[in-house]
Amino acid sequence: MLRQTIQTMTKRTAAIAALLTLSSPAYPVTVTVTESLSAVFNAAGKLSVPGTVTLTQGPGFFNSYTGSVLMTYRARTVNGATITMVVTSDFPAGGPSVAAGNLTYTCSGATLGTACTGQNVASTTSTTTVLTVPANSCTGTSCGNADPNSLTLTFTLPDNPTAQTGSYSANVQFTISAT
Amino acid sequence: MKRISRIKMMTCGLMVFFAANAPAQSASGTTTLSVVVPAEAALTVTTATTNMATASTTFGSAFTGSTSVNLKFRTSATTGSGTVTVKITTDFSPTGGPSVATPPTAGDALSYTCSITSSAACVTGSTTASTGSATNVVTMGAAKHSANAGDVATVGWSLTDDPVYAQGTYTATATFTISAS
Repeated sequence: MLRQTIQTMTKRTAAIAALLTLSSPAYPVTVTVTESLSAVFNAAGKLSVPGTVTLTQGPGFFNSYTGSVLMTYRARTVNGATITMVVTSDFPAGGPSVAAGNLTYTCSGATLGTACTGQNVASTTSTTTVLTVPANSCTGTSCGNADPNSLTLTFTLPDNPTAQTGSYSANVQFTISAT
Repeated sequence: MKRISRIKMMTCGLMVFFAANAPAQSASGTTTLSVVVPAEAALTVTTATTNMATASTTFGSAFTGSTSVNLKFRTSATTGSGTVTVKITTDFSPTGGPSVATPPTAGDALSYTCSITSSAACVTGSTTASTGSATNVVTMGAAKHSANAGDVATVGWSLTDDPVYAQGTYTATATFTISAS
């Protein structure tokens, strides 16, 4: 037992000496360190719409007013995303009325996801879905689409004679929710 | 070594946890829809041809007929107004019959009355139609509007049955004009 211990110590001393001997000269040393980098990309969504859109009348009398909103958006989804719309502030009394179902919209040109189809009635009380983005989607050329994505909404307001003359405005809020 | 493994396992566990419970993200934007509603007016004559006839064979009554006109209008709130006028743009033809511009007998006339269920008002009484100037049929004041489908004005025509008119069929053209401000 004692002999083995002495032999072990002797080997370690020799090894240390060898190490010291090797480390004395300034030889180049390459050290490789492997480190794992990880990032968690959560679902995310962002959208942008113009501050004001003017609805203009087509030629002739009592033709409907129309106006287009070019919405841009970006989305990264795990489960999916939706863009919804609600009219948060109706036209003032005496003018057109969203609450009465006057304001309708159509969707076109979505570069990511499935946009609404047909003529849809805007609401002041409930959100309506404008666009649905499927699961595992993302924005950008590497995802196979544009950056940012875009969608055009065309609003239509009938020119009802019962509306009084004047200027009217209503606020429409769009919300993108991604999971 | 075991400690490192435990840390790695905990890290992986947290990553899985975060991925599985990725929080819903939402963002909003608001657009203001703006529209200007002007004073407007439009009309449609729904009776393309008005046939005038008399039930009398003894010159006892005038030729009569009625024309329906659909009116859509909106006048401005404070200073607005509007009118519907009519003008005989083509006198009766062929010659030998009635004439709006040059009646063969003094007192011969093409005249009309009006009725409407609306916020607009028909001219009262009977008005003699003219080839020289448009005459009012309906007037609208400020802040008046028709129904969404339009209001119907009925113009009742009356044409003197003068014995000097030669037997035959005569036609004239009446043009209605609506304006609103």
